[in-house]
Amino acid sequence: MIEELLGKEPFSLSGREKESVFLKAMKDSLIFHYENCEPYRKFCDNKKFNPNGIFPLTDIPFLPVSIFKELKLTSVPEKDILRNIHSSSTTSGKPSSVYLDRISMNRQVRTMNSIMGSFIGNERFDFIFLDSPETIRSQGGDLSSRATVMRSLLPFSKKAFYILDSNLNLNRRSLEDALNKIEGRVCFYGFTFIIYQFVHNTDKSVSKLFEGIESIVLHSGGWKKLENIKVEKKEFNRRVSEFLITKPENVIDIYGMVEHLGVLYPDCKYGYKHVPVFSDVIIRDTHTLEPVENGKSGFIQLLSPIPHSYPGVSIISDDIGKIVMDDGCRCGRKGKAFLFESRAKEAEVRGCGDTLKGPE
Amino acid sequence: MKFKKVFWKGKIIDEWSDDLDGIVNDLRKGTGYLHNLKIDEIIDFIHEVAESWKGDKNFKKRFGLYLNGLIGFMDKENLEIIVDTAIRKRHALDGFVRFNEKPILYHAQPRGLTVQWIAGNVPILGMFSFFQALLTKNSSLIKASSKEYDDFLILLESFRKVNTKKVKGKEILGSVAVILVDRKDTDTMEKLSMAADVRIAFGGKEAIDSIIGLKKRFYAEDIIYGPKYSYAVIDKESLQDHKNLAQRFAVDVSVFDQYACSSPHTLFIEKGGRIDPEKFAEELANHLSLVNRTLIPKGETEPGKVMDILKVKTKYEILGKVFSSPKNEWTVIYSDEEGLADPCFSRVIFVRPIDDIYNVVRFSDHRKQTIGIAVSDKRRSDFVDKVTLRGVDRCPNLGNMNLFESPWDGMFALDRMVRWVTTYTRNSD
Repeated sequence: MIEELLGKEPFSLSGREKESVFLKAMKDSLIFHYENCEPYRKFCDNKKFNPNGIFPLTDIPFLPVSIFKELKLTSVPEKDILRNIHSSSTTSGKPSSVYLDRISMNRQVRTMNSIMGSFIGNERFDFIFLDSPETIRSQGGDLSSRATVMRSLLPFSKKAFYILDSNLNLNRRSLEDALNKIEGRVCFYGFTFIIYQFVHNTDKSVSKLFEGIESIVLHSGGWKKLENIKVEKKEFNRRVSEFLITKPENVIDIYGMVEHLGVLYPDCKYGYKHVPVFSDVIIRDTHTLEPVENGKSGFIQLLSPIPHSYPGVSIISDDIGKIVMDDGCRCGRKGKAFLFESRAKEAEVRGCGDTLKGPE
Repeated sequence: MKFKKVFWKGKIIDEWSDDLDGIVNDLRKGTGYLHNLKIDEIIDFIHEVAESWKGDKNFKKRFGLYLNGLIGFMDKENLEIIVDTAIRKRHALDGFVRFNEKPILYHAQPRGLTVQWIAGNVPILGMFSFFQALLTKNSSLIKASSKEYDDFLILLESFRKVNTKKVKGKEILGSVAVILVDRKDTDTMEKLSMAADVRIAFGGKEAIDSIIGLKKRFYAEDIIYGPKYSYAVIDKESLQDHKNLAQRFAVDVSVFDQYACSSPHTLFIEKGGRIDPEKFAEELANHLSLVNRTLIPKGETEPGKVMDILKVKTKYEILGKVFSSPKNEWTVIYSDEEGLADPCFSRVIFVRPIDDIYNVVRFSDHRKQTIGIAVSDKRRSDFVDKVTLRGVDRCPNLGNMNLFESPWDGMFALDRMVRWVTTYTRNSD
């Protein structure tokens, strides 16, 4: 059933058309992980959830993404693990790690290509990565989340250039080299905060070099650091588009997370994030964790049968969002659309008992 | 820099000010009124305030179980014992007294102005330090938490209506002011600190560190409450009475939602008793549910904390056993890990089996405040001696972990709020 799902166009099914095929694929995946990942089986048993039974999507238990920081969860033998993807930075300081086998990697490539193809088309771009060339290299099978996204974009590139040095400052020679070699449309990609830093810290005269280039700007990685310095999306788009000399609507935010393998959520031109056939999104109340109706904000739960080597099929994070429609976006993509709104604030009240760590 | 006055001259107000010196001077004048009162008259007054609260349905509804704790503390007999224990003879607060056969006379003079930094996690605890300042005839300048201070002001304002033969509530309130200060306003914080004859601070590590770091007068006394961790221990013999213990401990976990220093985060249960430690965890879960429904209903939990609880629960749904309410009001996590659990707060209690209660002695140090105990007589005093020698301050019975008592955090605050002065009887040479 998962293969059937992978064969479909990402935004070709309405919610109703997708429902049964997606649930069946989820069930296949849940049974696989239940049978092959003992900790996951224990988790389901403790939740009194039987993947062999009959259940709606909302009954599937969810793992908080932080669990992948705490525990190594895999559903395939160690020998089959080919790659470890880890998040680049976290509030706790511990990176999240997910372990990929060949099946997962193949599925990841197919879904990412399929989704990104819907947004940037089949015509290839010259890619300018606002990152350093070191980032994309695998280190003993380990890849950062930045590298993972950059690698997933390479199939869409005619040529790829990296214009920052290892300290993430502009490497002027690399930029000039890139600008000499580009021929057609350009796609800039970088992590949201890195792009912001680049635009903020780079000499304004550099901006002139981008004149006359037809470009789009893709960025991902989250808004936490920008929220901390009170930069909102509209302001970000304005600054970035001014510096890179493109239209603000060509600046596209991509939502996704390392643990949610192969599924990315770029903004459509109306500012919505569309849920492809490979995944589903449920919004849960921030107090009760019960599903909420469309239009109400809550924690974003992500479901997908794509992960094969680790049980990340239903996860929840402290990201807050809301479903804006079940169908009918003017952009033409079918299915559910949602908005990412913010990250949940860390609990404000601090207790006295937080004294176990550190010197006496 | 400006700060906000929220309680001044006996009334709740909402007024920006930059005149800290004016407040300090007025409060110092207020100590004159207190100095002319006898300690027994102050005790009578506090007792009368408690009596007025007892009959107030709105107060009972608003403050619930917390009011009972305060009222118990404010009882005349309790206060007399507390003051006599800390000061040795409470009338030493009124004038010179003899303690022994020698011709020396002792008098406990107030230090003057107490500046109190009250934490947002357990604002009602601030009442205890205010009462102790009052009992020792000191005035109080209170820096409340901007997140939580309404309850504190409502309790204070109620003093206005209480008058005894010798004491007028309105006059007493002339010796207290409550202000809010932006935590980034280091100038005002520094001024507050420099005005203090006694600095009293409650709170988590971050808050306490920032207060301790402020400049102060060299003779100013510091009374620092927290940050400390608390836990509990049940030995195998005591498990005979497991139902009662689970009931009492459920209250310890629920009061203050574990945000107080005295709140337990880990419960160790010695193996080999009448019931298995895991069974006790299940029983505790039932009682936490009962306490939430009937005695101390939990308020709404912040989204960030809901996620914290979910993270911990999920980890132990894989590594251990979890008993919890569907809406995250309470959580019991059972695992056979060693050591103290990282606190999650918000009624998340970790239950862990141990082979011998003495195995927890090594977890006891100066960063631990309370160990709630259910330990049989034959080992009780030896166990308590060992853990307190290493730094633990209190070992109350289960169910009493959050009952405020004197001493607290290893010190008699009343004693620290006075200066002991001496003179001699005539012809003593």
